[in-house]
Amino acid sequence: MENENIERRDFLSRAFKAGISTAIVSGAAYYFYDGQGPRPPHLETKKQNKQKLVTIPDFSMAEHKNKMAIAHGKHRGKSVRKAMKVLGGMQAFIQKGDRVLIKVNAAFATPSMLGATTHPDLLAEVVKMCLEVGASSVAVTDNPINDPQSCFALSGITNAAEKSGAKLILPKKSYFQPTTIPGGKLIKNWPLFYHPLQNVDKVIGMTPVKHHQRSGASMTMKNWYGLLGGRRNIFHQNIHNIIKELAIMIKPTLVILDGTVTMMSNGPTGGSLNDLKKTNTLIVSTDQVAADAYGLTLLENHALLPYIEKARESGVGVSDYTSLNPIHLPE
Amino acid sequence: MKRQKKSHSKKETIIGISILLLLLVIAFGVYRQQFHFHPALLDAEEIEKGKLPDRSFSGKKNVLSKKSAKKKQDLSQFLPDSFTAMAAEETFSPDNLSDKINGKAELYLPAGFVQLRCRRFVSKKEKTVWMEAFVYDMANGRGAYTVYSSQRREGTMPAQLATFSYQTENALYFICGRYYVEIVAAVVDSNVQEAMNTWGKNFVTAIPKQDARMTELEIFPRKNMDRESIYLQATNAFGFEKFDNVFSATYMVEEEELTAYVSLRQNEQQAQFLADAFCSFLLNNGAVEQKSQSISGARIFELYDTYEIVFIAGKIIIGVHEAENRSEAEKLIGAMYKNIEENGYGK
Repeated sequence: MENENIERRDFLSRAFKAGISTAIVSGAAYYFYDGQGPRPPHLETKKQNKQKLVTIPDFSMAEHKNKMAIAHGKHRGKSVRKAMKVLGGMQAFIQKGDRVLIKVNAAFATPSMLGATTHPDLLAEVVKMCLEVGASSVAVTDNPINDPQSCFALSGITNAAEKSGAKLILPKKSYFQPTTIPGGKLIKNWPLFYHPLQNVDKVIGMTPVKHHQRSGASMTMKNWYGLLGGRRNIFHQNIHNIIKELAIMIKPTLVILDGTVTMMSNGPTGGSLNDLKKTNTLIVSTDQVAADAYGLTLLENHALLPYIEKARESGVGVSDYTSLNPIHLPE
Repeated sequence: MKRQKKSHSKKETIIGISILLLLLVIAFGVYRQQFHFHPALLDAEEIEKGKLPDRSFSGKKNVLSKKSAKKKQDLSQFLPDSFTAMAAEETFSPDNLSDKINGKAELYLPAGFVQLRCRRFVSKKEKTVWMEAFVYDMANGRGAYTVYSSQRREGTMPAQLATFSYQTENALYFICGRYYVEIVAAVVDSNVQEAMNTWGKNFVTAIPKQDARMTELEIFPRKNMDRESIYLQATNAFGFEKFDNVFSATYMVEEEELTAYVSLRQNEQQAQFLADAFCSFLLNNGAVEQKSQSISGARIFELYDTYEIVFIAGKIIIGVHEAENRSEAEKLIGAMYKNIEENGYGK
């Protein structure tokens, strides 16, 4: 009997010790657990070490879902006005007092004639249109990896923005905050060029149609790459998924895809006029997936690129642009 | 009666120690792994240590210092008097080449890219007339040829500058030794075109050339060949991962296009091994092997109504890819083999 008591006592003692050990280890694991992971130093300052993740608001307009217009012509200004008119006019999208942000492609310090960046004439026209309908402000932005001032200046965007009455927002360290997109595997706790997106009511993406060495094409969805900070070039190894996540990340009011002159080869930088073809087409749409799918036809690419299919599967938009019954406007 | 402490058997002790050791190993592994950050965040450490510039928002930290610019030949020294430097010289390494040329870096890196130096120059008379020179150090002439040939534009004009050179309305492209050079003008203008050519000539004169002889180019028969189509694929030729260092050229024969290719290997064994591997790749992708009646030793495959021919001559692999006309493809192989035999290539 006494031996049984010893055995039981011993068991209880050991069980208690094991329980305490387990509780201590579990508690320590819970204390050290960090679901977000480490952050780059520029987000880990004393001031920012409790920085919350930001989310980009939804700038799309439900009443204008699934709209697309395709204007044909050599003159960008005329094409964009024609296209906007059949979609209800700029006033259908920009209300009086709206603060508008135009995200351009200013990725390279190259002249506009090389087709690698948003054309200044198109930008100037759209800025004017926004101000005509009563926008209280129009800002233009991008985050080129190359020297931003050179990129904006040499591409003609600075001049066009200033002359048409828009404000240019160049990137600064303090303009970045971390973001994670829902279900994102790449854009997780990643620095986002957030400042320009704050305190705006409408966002327009504007970019040319270009061949891209890695992804096949650089169009409206890839244009949002310029909102990422950090060493974003690592995503080139997973280019189709990052483009998909960019399209999930931001729901713009409109996208304008400029195929007036298309970069057919040697993209995204191009360099020679021989890389370009006058395709005289400009697409305005509220569905960036559909816009890109149509843009592929200008690149004479008849197979959908993986990122377009991925974006469609994620519910960002439709790849069958014909289902939107786009309005074609001849020259 | 005093409770006696139960003693543990040797077996229990060993098991207990083993478990503790295992837990220690796991703990060490977790401790080690938690410092292997996401690749992008890895740079966070480097930035903190001051080794890398913070590129959260800008990539302008690539300006060549005055000292190192002097060591290498300053790119502005090749300018005509009518032009001057517009900005400081920039340099890019394999780590940050994409900061300058974005996704196009993927073309250069596998081809042996070492460094890019670039600089903008502007006309002294007219500030809107400017150009940018890009000097890519590709480690050797083959690397330079790879990127030159893969970006060859159509409808270009010959440039009397180097063996491999051409120009367009606004740009000049050429190879000089290990360097692939592009000069791109911001406008179409005769003055800037003249400046580009002067810069190019001065560069070619100044830079010592170590042209690697590309025997493969001599194997392609000249008849019916589109000379602008010659292309050196550094890797993954025809979708086959192991097929590297492959020259290809396009021929137009009776309105049909043929693609011939040549790959010089290190030795006969390697050539045989790679050719066999490529043939297996074709078979695994649905090709059906056929008997060759005209060329002894050639392997012929039919794949989706086209023909593939693979032939080994010493350490050289030659072939025709996706030919619609088998007879013409075989003639082309015959012509290539004749060039090899007559000149003693591949021995």
